[in-house]
Amino acid sequence: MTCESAREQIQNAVDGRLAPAETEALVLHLHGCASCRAYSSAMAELDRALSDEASRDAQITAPPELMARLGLEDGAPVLVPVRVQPSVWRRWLPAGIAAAGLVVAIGIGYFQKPAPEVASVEAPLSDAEAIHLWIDPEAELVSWTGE
Amino acid sequence: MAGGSTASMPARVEPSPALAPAAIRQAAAGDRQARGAFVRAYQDRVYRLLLRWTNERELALDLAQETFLKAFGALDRFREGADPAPWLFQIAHRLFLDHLRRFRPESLEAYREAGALAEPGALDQAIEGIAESEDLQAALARLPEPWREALVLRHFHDQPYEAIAEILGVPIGTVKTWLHRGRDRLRQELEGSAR
Repeated sequence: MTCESAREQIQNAVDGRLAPAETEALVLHLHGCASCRAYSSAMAELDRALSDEASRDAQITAPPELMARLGLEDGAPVLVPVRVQPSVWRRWLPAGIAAAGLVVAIGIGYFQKPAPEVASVEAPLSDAEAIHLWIDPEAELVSWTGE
Repeated sequence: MAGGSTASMPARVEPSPALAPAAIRQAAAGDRQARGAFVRAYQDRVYRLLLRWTNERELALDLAQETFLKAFGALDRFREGADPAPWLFQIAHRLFLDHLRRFRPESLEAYREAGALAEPGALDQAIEGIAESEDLQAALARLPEPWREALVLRHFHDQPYEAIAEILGVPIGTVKTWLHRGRDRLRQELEGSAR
């Protein structure tokens, strides 16, 4: 085993992706190579440092304003759909159009206020692209649990 | 023994919150309470991921908001029983790439090449306030975006290679390369700062 492949195997070991036979060959190499032993120790130390950092990272919580921005905080107004009767609709069509325009204008203003970033951001990303592996029915599901 | 100690898995495995399929269906149908539960279940993980990727609190918050809005629009097509976390991570990644494309094209170029150092962003106070390893944080922030993204997904969110590949939209071999290069760069920087 070369030092280059030994170091690659050490990295694979960090990710828990080293087969038993590969482990044996790596250990054999490490016995005779001080340089790769030092590399292995450094990687083990880095792995521990990253684990510690991950534990600290887990203490971070999302700011409360995220729920507010999404209109999901407690006490936020709930939208109730309004059904319009056909007869009323025909009779009050002109006034209804004007009123609807006003409501839409107010509504846009209202909803843009808590989330101006979303209203102003273009959305060039395709949802279909973003979710192609997780949706039914055509797409094939990829297991995320290693099953 | 060094070889044995390197074979450890990430110490912290974060369980995915169990949201009943019925709750996800309700959220997909627009039920406000169910959407609230959905966001509460995943907002911390999505925000932390974006915070590590961007190193900017406001940007992470903006992208987290967009992530959930996009997810709401696609929840009706979400595969029942699947873990929503990697799916949300992938949406977040697409949005982050889109942000780079629009506002930091030089970083996107670095992303494509995965070689040049990206400009380090200002570390968020939330991280600085609780962290003791400034050197590691700074070194992480200086990594090229793709290396940092892969390392954060692997070490902080315990995602396997396959999931990282899907989230980042690259082959598994590329994920492996980015992880290896990222760790090598971190090791070199930390050794350099210790001297």
